[in-house]
Amino acid sequence: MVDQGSMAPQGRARMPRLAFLRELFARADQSSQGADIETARKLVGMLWGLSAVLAAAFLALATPDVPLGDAGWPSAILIVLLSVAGARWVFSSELGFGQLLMISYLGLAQTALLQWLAGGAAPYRALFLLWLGSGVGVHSARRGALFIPAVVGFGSLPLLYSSAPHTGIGILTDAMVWVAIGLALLFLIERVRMQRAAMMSIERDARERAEEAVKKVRGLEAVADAALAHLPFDELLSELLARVSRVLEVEQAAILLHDEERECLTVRAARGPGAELARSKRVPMGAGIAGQVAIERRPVFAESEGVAGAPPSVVWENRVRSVLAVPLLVEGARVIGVLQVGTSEGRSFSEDDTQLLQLAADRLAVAIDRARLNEQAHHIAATLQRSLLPSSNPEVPGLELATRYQPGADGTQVGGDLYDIVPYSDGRVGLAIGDVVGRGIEAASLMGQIRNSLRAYAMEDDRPEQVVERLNLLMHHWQQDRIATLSYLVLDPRNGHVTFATAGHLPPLVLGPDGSASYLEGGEFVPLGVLPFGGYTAGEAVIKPGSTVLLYTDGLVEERGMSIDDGLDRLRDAIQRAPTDPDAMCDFLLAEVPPNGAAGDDVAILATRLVPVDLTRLDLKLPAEPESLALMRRALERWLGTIGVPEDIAYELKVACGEACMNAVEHAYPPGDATFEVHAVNLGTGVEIVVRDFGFWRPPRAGSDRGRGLELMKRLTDSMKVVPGSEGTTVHLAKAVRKDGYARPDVERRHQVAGLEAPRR
Amino acid sequence: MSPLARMEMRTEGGAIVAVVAGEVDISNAADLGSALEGAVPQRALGLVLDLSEATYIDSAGIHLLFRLGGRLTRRRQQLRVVVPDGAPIRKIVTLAGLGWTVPHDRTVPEALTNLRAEVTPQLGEEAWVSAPDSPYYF
Repeated sequence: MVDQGSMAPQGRARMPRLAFLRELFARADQSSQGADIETARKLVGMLWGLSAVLAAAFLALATPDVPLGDAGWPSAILIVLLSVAGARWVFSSELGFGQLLMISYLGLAQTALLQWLAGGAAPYRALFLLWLGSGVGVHSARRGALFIPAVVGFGSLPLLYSSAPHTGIGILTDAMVWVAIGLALLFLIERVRMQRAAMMSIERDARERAEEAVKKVRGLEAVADAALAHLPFDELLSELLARVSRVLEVEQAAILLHDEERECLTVRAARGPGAELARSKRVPMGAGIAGQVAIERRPVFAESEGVAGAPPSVVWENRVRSVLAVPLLVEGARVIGVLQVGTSEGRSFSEDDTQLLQLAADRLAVAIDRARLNEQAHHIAATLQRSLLPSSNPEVPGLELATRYQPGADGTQVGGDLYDIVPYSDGRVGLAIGDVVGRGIEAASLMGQIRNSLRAYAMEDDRPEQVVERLNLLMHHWQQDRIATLSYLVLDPRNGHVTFATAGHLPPLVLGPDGSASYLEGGEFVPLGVLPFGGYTAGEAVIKPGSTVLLYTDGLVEERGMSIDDGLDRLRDAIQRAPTDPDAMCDFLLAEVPPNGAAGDDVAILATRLVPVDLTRLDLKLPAEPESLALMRRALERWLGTIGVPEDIAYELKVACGEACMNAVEHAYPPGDATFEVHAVNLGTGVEIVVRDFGFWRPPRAGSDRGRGLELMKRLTDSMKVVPGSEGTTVHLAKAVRKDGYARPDVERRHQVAGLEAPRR
Repeated sequence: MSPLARMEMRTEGGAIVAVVAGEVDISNAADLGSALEGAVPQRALGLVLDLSEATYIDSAGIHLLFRLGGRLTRRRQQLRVVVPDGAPIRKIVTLAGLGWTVPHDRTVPEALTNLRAEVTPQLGEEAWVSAPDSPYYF
């Protein structure tokens, strides 16, 4: 069996390729290649144990007392026992390949010793075969090959002492069999071993590649996680940055977005050391790595000094040594920003790293694009909403008005908040705020209807409770299943008188000039659309000059789980800390009060400040259009009344000033946003009024009403002067005011000014 | 801005009586003028314009009255303006010299009486005229 099996591989190996042989023996340090030491130890140990057992068995075949006489048996038994002990020791030892080879030589010597003790009579050749296996099987070809002559040598020892007959042929055959078996084993094992080594290296490579791939996939998963899509935009950016940093093991990461107006990149999100400083920093196109990436539209890696000696990153300045940046591309070519990562230690990024970062960038670009679309949708909704709200606040003399509408954060949905300002021709102003229950286009359209109806009713009737009552009937009749809350408040800037009616809405809040705040009480009834009949009443109050009336919707104060009273207390506390300017006040309240910050419900605010009258002067700047004249009259009435000018003189001044303003309006070049100015000064003994326009003075034609206007001005004042100029015309009017009577007693004094009240229905 | 002025008309004794309340200035004078002019039928004796409740009038309003008076005169009708002594615009109307061209009275009945005395009905003794009954806003 052995003979047959040995010849074939030997012939195959030797004949075709000498190169293989050379290669086989050239390897010096491959004793361990393809074999593992533990298996080798077990193999050698087993062989030793097996040879001990076989040797013990062979002892019975030939009595070991030939050369030593009586000491033969004990020696042989001692050797066998030592072999068993040695085998056990090898099994559990930490021996290296060299020591195992020594043991194989030792085993060979031991077998030869036993054979000598047995007088060469027993079949010890089998044991040699075992040790041959251990010698060439365990070791590399180079070391194992030496073992073959050793086996041949030890195996031939019986020639020296054996009494058995020997033939030259027999001995040669023996030796050749040993050599053949040895070589066959050698080549066979070496071949297996090389294949195994090759397989192991393939396996190792594959494992490494697999690990790389897993890492990459994990990274891809991390940045492509669908759950990210539900995050708000800014959170998405910072979460992606965190994941990119983790996967790429970098300290710093930043997202820069392209600002088309300024032609630069703005840092939108950053993390890692220096992030605070980096945030909202601007990087010109072409500057630093980010700018370079944005222009070249390809990933750029830079280390230490970066491009052209500048710090590698404008974003991180000197806090970074290695920077990798990739463009954020949409539609394949448009750069909307740059994603960059950096480390403070020198580091190179692999192709995989770059690919991963680019993938994150692509993902980011899509998210940013989508977020922009969302923002657009939101913008459209908000625009629709705004189209239902007054586009600008009217000028109301004596009042400063500010309004805010803040759409709810969740949405592309239109909210149902409404506010409106209705100026009355007598100088009073109606302030409305309301909230339609529900959201969406339906709520918005109802809001539009309520707003128009409110205006119509307000024009007909200036009593708030009547306006609200009519709206209620309208709602109940036409919008059976809809409910809305509303507050309507009419404020007279001349005396601070306030009338209001509330339909299920939150109470108006008044901030006094002394900084104290209180809610207006009274005038409350159920929301619009609840009851088929009326019952709305008016509440009344008088507010001091310098006070602010605040109307608002529940989004400002309501939060689930919090009582509305807590919200109202919160608002009252906040308004006492707020700036008095209505615009600033609105901003302050929006920032301070809503319980959920920007994430809550829609909020509408209307702040109206009753401006204290400056007793020394009045300055107005009004658009040069006929409608401004009434505004001028309201402002002048209020001012003249406050400084104590008797009503009839005030009336004459009002008419005279009205004539001057009419001239100004006529002089203005239509169309356009020309203005005119009215400056009135309290002289103590009288009043001087200057009306300026910025057009050309045109002399009145005889008999025209403008001639009549000049005549009226002249007659109603003590002095009147028209000064035409290249940049406009100035009309000076002056009239004395005597405290005890009229400036010009010669003019008929019979008539009594019935009052400046406008017609009330 | 709510309307500055409000006008209501009625027919009385073969004439149109228009009550204008509120303020008349350049922003609404022209509209008010054409509304008044259009509201007086050919068969009416004339127009009695009650300005007792007018709180303000400026030269544009005065001009309107002059022009309206002229037009009606050419149509053989008459414009009479009612401005009581205590009316807010009394002084302005006086200063502007309206009385020289447009006759004015203290009350509406007085104006109607004077109107009937001065104007000959064009189509019989009691001409039937009617005016729109809903108010106008300016």
